[in-house]
Amino acid sequence: MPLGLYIAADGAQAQSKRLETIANNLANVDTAGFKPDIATFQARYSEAIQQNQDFPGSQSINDIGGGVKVIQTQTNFAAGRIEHTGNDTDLAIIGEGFFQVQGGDGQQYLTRAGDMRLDNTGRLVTADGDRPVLSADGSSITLTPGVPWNISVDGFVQQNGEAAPLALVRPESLNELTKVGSNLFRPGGEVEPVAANQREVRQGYLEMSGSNSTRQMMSMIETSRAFEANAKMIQNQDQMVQNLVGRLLRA
Amino acid sequence: MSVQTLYTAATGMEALETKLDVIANNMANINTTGFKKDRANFEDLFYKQERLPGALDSDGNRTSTGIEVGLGTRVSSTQSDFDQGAFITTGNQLDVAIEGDGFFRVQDPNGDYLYTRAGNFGINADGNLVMASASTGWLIDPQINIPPEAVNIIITPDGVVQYQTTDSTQYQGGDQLQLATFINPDGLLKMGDSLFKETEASGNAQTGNPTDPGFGSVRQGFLEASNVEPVSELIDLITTQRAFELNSQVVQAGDQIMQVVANLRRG
Repeated sequence: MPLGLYIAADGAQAQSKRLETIANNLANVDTAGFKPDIATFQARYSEAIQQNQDFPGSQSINDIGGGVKVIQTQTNFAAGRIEHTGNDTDLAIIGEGFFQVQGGDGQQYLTRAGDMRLDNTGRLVTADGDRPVLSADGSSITLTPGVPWNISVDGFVQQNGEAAPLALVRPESLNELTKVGSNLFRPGGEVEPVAANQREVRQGYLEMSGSNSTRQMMSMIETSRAFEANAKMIQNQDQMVQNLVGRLLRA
Repeated sequence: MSVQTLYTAATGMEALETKLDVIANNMANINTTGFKKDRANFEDLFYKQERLPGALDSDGNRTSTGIEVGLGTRVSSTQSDFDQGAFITTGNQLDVAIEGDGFFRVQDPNGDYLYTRAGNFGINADGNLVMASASTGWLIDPQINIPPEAVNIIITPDGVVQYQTTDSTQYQGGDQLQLATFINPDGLLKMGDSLFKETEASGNAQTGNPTDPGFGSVRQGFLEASNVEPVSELIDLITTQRAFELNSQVVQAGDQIMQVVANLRRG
């Protein structure tokens, strides 16, 4: 069968994967602290080069592209829109860094979603209620009920004249963060605290989703059209073979 | 395959529908005394890890990032916002607003305690203070007795209820209203009728007198209006509706792709 058939199929498959990513970005346009993903494509070397029968740049008949594949999904960590909510337990990080929270499995995760709340023991926890937000020394933050409290701009939880610093950390590289759902990222390596002069937290504000619906919509249209173009190519190749077979039979 | 696209977009539509329900209820209660608005919090669902970061790909290259495809969104919680509502002057002697934290405690016919911020009270046939907004007129706890012959009723900021009768200028009585607070008011269960119920998540009620540290004070002749802000609710309504439309467009795109696939083989 002609190689083009497989190349076009690869193209369609890659576009379909990209559409899944866009669907997730659009589903999360209202998720606090959400960071959209971008599916990145990479051109494949031709069949001959992949089998070491030729080398890239040989300018021979073999040196044509070998289709496309999704090489990675990359998360765009650009800051989302900051919305004023007036809710005491809503926190937004301005600039770099992540909140550190303790997962049910004992692991520590990072999040930008600041829609926190208090649980029945007065601990500061994430919105779904079961992951304590950690302070810089790795313990959870517990507030005494009925006593006024606030969070300072540099991220200190202040109550009764005492102040506990919220953990604000960043990984060595944003690329090593894995998304695990529930607005959490799993760090792949060590995390380091954000420098004292760069800590900035706003109480009563929320960082909304970083997913830009207009741009996602554009990508979606582009993706569907590219998919259709690839499908058209499959049909063309198929027709070509059909014609060929027909002619051979008549001859 | 793009079937995933359909399901992912569907989770978005479902979650946004829940948000729309919450907004509709907030809007419906824009005139409900002591009503506290709700908010839907979203979180992303889990991710298909098609390739972990740092893995070798088929060409032997080590990739800096992996391939993760998210499966959509869901509403992780609805959270009540206990911000103070506006005060409305009514001049009614039996209207009481709480300024600050705390809830009035009422007792239902089964003896269970429920909590409310709606301070539009009435007096029942036995001369006890009852909640006027509850359809049944449940008793305020602790019980406050005001006899039928009472004419001038005074409720002080710390909740002491006194009254005059027609045959005397002296103030009598002295029953005191109490307030209850919770560590996590977000965890209270909304019961309708402006009532909240204690749950595991809210923690136990702590009672105290108005003006005690950590408790609000009470204001006679005022009512606390709903804390729903129509402008921000409308903005939320618009963005939710649009986001819903966007997700429905994704469903259409996914469907179109499947249709193209289905039509690939002709003749």
